[in-house]
Amino acid sequence: MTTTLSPTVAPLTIRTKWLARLLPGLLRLHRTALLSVAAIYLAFISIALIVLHQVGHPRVSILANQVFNATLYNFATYAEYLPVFVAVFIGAPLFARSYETGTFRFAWTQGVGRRRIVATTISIFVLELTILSFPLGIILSRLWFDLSPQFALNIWIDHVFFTSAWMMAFSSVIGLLTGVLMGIAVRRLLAALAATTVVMVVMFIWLTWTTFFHETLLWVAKAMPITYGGPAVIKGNYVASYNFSFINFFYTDKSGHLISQSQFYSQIFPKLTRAQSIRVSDHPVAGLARLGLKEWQGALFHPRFHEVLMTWIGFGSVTAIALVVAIFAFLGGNDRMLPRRRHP
Amino acid sequence: MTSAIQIEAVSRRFRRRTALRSVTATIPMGSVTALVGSNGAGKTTLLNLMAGLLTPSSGTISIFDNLIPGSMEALGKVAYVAQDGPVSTSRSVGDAVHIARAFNISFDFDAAVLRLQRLGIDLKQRVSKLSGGHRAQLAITLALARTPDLLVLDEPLSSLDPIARRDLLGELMGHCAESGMTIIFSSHVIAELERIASHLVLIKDGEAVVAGEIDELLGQHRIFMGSVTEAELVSNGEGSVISQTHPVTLAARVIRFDVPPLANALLAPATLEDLAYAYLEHTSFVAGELPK
Repeated sequence: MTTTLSPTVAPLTIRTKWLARLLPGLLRLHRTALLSVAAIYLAFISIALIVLHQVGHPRVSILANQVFNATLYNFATYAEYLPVFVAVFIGAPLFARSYETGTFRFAWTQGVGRRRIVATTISIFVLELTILSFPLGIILSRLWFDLSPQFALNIWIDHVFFTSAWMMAFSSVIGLLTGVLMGIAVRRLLAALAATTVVMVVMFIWLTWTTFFHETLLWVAKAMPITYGGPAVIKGNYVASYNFSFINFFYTDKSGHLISQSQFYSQIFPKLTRAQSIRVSDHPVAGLARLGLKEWQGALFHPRFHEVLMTWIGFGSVTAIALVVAIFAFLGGNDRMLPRRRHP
Repeated sequence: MTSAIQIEAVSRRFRRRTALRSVTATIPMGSVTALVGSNGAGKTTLLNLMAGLLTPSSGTISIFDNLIPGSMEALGKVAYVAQDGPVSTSRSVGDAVHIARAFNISFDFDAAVLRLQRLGIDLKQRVSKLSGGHRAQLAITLALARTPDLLVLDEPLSSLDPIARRDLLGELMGHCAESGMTIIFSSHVIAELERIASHLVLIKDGEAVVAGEIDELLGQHRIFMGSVTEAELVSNGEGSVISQTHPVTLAARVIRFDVPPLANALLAPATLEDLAYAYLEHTSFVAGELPK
C-alpha cells in the first residue's frame, strides 16, 4: 500500500517543500520593496480615510473637495497614478538591479531554479498589490460617490473607473509586470526606469486620450448596442457622457465620428441657419432633436463599457498574460518557459 | 573514469562577437580542472554555459549522465560562484545565508555559518561593506554549503590574499577527496594551480587549445633552450615547437612530443606554467594543428 501511494505523494511533498523554503527567502530579499509598496498604499488609504471621516461617514459626497480640505482630497485622488509608481520604482528595479550588479548569476544558479524564483517573486508582489488595492479602491469610490442608503448607489457598480477596486488592482499589477518586463529586457537600472516611465506615460495617455476614448466608446455602442441601455446610436446622434462630477456632451458629425461640445459649437453650430441656432441655444435638447439628433443615455453605459472593453479585454487579462509570457521569454537559459531561440 | 562534463563542439556567439569556437573537452568526475586563458579568451562564457546561465549557439554540453546545464535536475547538483557581484549586496551576510538556504532544497546552514565565523566574517555586516576577499569567501561558502556534485568557480582566487588562497585551495582539495566533488575553476594564478588541479583546459581566442590530464600533458612536453630552428632539429620530426615567439633568440622552447623524445638529454621537464605560457603566447596557431 505504501509503495503504491509514494509516487503520488512524493512530488506534492517536494512541491510544497520548495515553496515553503523559497517564500521566507524571497520575503527577506525583497522586504524593502514590499514594505515600500505597503507604506505608500497605506498612506493613500489613510489620507482617503481622513477625508471620509471629516466629511462624515457614511454621507460621503462627490463634492467632498468643496466641503472639506481640498488639498487632502486632491492628494487622495493621486492614487490614480500609483500604478506608475509601482511600475517605475518597484517593477523596473526588481530584476534590472540584479542584472546590472551581476547578482542574478547567484539567484539563477540556485537549486530552486530561476523560473520558480521569478514566478514566486512576481506572485508575492501581485498578491500584495491586490490586497492593498481593494480597500484603497473601495474607499476612493466612497470618496467620490455618495453611497448613503437614500441614493441607492452600489459601491461595486458606481465608481470612477481608474480608482475602482478592481481597476486599482488590475492597473497596479499591469504596472508591476510592465516594469518587470522593461527591467528584464533592458537589464540596466536607469535605462529600465526611463523605459518604464515612458511606457507608463504612453499607456496613461492612450487610456485617457479623449478622442480615442470616445471613438472607441462610439464603436462599442454601435457594435454591441446590448451593452448599454440607451437608444441605438446612428449617424447624427449626439452622445451624452459624464466625466467625474460634470457632464460632457459629445456629438457625432456626419461621418459618424465623435466631436466634443466645444467642437460642435465651433464647427457645426456656425453652419446652422439662424432659426436652428436660436433653437439650439434656447432649448438645446429640443433644438438638437429638431435637427434629427437623439439623446443617448451615455451615463448608464459608461462603467459597463470600461469593464467589458478596457479591463477584461484591452487592459486586463490579455495584457497581463502577454506580459508574463514576455517576461519569461526574456529570462533565457535552459530553465526557460518558452522554447529555445536557435542561433543561425 | 566517468565524465562530469561533456563538451562537444560548443560555440557561443554574442551578436557579432564569437566568444567560443567549437570547444570540445571532457571533465572527469571527481577531478579538479583548471580553466586557463588570457583575458577575454572565453573562460567565463564556458563556465556560464556549464552553470546553465547561457545556452550554446551550436554544439552540446551535458553534465552527469546527459543533464542539460540549467535544468532543474542539473541545478540541484551544480553550484556556481561568479567572478564578481556574487550575492545581493544590499543585504547582510546573515540575510545572504538565509536567502541561499531558501533557494536550495539541500543546504548546510550550520556549516555555512561556521565557515563564515572561522573566516571572521560578521553575519550582521552588510555584504556591500565587505572587502573583496570576504565577499568572495561568502560566495564560496554559500556554494560549498549546497554540497554540490559539481563546483564551478570563476576566478575565485583573484581577490584573495596568498594565505587565504592557500587555505581555500587546501579546503577544495579536501572536499574533492572526501565527497568526490568535481571542481572546475578559472584562474590566472598558474603557479598555484599545479598544487591542486589534476586536469587542465587551456583556452585561447575562444578555442580550447589544450585539454587533458595535467600529468599526461606535462609528460608530453619538454623544455629546450635555444632558437626555434635548433628546437625543431632537436624535435627531429617527432614533436612540434609550441613557443614560437622570438624565433631566433635563445629562449626556453616548449616542444610537444607525440612519442618519447630521442634527444631526452638535451631537454628538461616542463612545468604547468611553461606549458600554459607557451600555448598562450603561441601566435602562429592554426586551428587543428595543436593537440586537443
